[in-house]
Amino acid sequence: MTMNASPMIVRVLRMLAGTQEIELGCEEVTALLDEYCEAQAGGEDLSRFAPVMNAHLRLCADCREEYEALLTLVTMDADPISS
Amino acid sequence: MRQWLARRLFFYLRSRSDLDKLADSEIQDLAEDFVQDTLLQIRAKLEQFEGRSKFTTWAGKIAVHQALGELRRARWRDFSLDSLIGESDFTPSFLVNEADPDAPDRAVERAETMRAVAEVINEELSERQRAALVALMVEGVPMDVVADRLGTNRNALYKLLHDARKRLRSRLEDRGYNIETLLNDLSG
Ligand SMILES: [Zn+2]
Repeated sequence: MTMNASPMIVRVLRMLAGTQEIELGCEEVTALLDEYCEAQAGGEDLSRFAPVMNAHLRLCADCREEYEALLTLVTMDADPISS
Repeated sequence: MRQWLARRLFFYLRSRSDLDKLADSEIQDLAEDFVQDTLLQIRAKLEQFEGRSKFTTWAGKIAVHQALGELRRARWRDFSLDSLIGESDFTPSFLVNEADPDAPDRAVERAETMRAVAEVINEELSERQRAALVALMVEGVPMDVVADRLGTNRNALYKLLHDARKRLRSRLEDRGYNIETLLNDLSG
């Protein structure tokens, strides 16, 4: 597998630009995820989660994917009568 | 709740582009398997439910964590860090060669900046931090998979990377670089 170094360095710099002194870990994000998705689905104010939640979701692809999936699940219109 | 999970997981899995070769019946089976595993986990974790969300949302979180973890590991089963070891030196190969005397000033300047950043990465990070960073540069490779290969878990890997990022940023700043300026110079 070969990788071109210059886009790699630019990607590292982008990660550095988003780096905060204090960030939530994956476990902390997972602990909040159900509450966060429900608040978002209900159109609530998310400022009590931001910006720490956003910073993590930008930098962690796995937590981001789980967040997107859970949001899809809770906002889905999947009950038998409507599908 | 079982129904709630199974239906939603089915529609979610069916919408994923990496599973679009599967027939609906196969996706149905996959969803059933995930729900089965999820129910076992829910039973084990029941006392962790604090009522901060609806029970179905909490169950959905466990289902998603479980399902995506399995999908990632299956999809990246053959991924090895060994093939990347040669890449853990960040010095771009074109910089190792003699600088091109005919390159325009701007290109020379950019090459110099790249070299400086690569040098900080190579000198200031531990081998483990560098390995983690290089692995995550592979397009689409999940944190879970990199963590498995490094014998750790996602949470600890994130922390390792967070420490690495903070260290790089402060070392670059010590050397008089500003991250935003570097980004503008290199991507502009
Ligand atoms: Zn994470």
